[in-house]
Amino acid sequence: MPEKETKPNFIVSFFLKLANSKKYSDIKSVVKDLLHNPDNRYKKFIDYFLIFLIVTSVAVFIDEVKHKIPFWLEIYAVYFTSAVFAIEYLLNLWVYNDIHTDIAKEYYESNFVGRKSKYYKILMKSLSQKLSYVITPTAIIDLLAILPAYRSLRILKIFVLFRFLKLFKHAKSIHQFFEVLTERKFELITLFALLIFVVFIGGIAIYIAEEQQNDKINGLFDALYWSFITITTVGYGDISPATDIGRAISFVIVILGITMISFATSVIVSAFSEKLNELKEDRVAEQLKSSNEFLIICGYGQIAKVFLRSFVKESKKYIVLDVNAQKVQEALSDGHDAICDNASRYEVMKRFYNENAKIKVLALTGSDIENIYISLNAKSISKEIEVIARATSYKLYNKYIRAGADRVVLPNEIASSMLVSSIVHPGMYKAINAILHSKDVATLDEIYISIECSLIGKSIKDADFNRYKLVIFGVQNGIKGEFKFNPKPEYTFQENDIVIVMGHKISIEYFKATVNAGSYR
Amino acid sequence: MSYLKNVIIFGYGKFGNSIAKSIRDEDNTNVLVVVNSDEEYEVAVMEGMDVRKFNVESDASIEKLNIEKDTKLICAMDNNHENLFLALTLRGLYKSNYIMAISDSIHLTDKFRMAGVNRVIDIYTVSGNMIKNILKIPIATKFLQGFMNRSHNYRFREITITENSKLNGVMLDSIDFNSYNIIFIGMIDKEIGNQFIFSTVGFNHKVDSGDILVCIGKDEDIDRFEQIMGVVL
Repeated sequence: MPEKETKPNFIVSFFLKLANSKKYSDIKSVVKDLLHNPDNRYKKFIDYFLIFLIVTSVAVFIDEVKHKIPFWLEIYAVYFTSAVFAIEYLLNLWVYNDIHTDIAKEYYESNFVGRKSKYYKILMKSLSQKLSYVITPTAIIDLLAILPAYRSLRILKIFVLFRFLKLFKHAKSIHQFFEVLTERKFELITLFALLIFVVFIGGIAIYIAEEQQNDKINGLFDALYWSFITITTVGYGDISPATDIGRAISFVIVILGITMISFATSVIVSAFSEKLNELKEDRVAEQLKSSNEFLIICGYGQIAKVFLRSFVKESKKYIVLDVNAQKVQEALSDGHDAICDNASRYEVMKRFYNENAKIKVLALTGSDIENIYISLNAKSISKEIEVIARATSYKLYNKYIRAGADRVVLPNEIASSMLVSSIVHPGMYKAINAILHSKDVATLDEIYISIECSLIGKSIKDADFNRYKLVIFGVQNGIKGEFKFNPKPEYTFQENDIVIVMGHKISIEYFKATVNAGSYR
Repeated sequence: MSYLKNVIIFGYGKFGNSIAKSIRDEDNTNVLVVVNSDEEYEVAVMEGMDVRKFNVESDASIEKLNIEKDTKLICAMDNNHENLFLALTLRGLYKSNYIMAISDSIHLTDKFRMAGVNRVIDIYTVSGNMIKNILKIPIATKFLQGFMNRSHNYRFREITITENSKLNGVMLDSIDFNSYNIIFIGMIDKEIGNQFIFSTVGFNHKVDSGDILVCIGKDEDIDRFEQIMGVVL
């Protein structure tokens, strides 16, 4: 029979209160995001700040070895930095897991089924999770980096080295360096084991051969020391072989040493050369994500080439993605940032996603299947991503729209309709062609009326477009509003209006500057 | 005013098919489709086209078509090699005819130009520019595209000024296009050749018979304007 609902004690009530507090969970998620989300726009500032504290406090500690440092500097390097590191450590510990949700879950579940609550067990489980964080290498380094604050124990000053190790966490390039080495863990461990083995063999051999004849070798440790210094090709010369057998052992040890160093160098170099492209791509992706607006161009075919030829002048950020390594190479040679990857893969597109940026995806591969997949992929990441896709036939238009494409470009249809227009309506063709190809005299532009624009509240008549020799084609309120063709002179402008005008390029620029208007983005 | 336009389209494949249908749907145009494959011939016949067969390698078979001087020739065969060969043949046989072609590569565009084609429409260039415009001026591009694919009710209209028109001899700035709900884009002035002059250059010109005014607006509004101004033939 289910037990009666138990009244929570003081501690459980406290955890329940936390679990029900939206403010508390919001604050915790903000802190977690700041500390651990590489895409958080403020994280880099926190990292820079911590790097600054690390470098300056270590510099002060080094200076302190020989000189007396001023009191304020001691306060800064010892107490202030340690306090900041302690706060960072505690925050990391705090956000690692949620004790309150575990306790609250246990409270509700036990009440629901009417069983006795196991708060102690749950609490221990949550605390052991916290402990598992405490014993991670990063947490240990963080903790040891706080220790130099305890000035009474001089030995603790050596822990200043751990402050440098903290840089791993905050400086990405150092982190990447060790990541590359970690990938070659097997080769490096094998090499290290071989080194130990050869050092021992060489050390024992020289010990047996020269212990009696060489007054510099007074024990096995001296022999191992000699072996290590020789094999690493350092050769201090404080211990050297005194017999022919000893010298013969040296030959072998030196050859093995050179071989091992060459092997280690080749392992590290090949690891880096393999990883270099990936590191470069990561850097490009990071830079792209940090901008407010960028383009992802999928497929480097003829259309992308023509498009980029004129688009590069706009000095906007973009990246080319193509599955074909040869095309990627071509794009790189043409001076574009390009990555060899499949844009229809979720992880690939997600890599570039930044919720604060305005992202536009151009699906321009030669395959409709791929373009539709790319459109769907982009929209599955965020509906806010704008997709412009290329289709080979009008029959596929609806499929593209269903896949979420915002605009569909039909090259064959465009070319055919332009050809037809040039025959049937040559005047229209000339006009549209000139407008579309941005002839200075007939530039078509969109004037965006933001809150700062002086046109708000003014009528078309008052704005006197004729004075600037501008022709208004129409007005639309917002990107999704209704388009009003040739509005009446009495029409009054309002915020968010986008005015389509045609005019001389310099007239449009002058008009925009005069009324403090911009372009819609 | 529109003149009768004779157009011959060579090929009835991926481009020829849609071009022929679009031109046929326009008033005042005569379209002849010329093909070299039985398959295309059958499709063209089924779709009610005026169609003839020819051999692209034989000049005689092209000469049999009795192409007139003012006929516009469109090279729209699916096979690029045959299409280029055709363009060369046509230019050799008909020095003064206006020849057009659609190209699907930058290299082919250059070759068509070298072969003497008057207008080459490169599908990648127009598409690339279109994408750039979509990104830069999305609303305006959609509006302009609407004229080509007829997705809205507004039309470009070339109004040829007749001798008896009320506009003959009138200064441009005295015409209130706005009151007819139409927009004046520019004009082709016969006196200074066939150059298109945009209204945005700020010129004031006396309109003479033979000049062509290019306006945009709804058909009914432009019809009303033409009627009132007495430019309807």
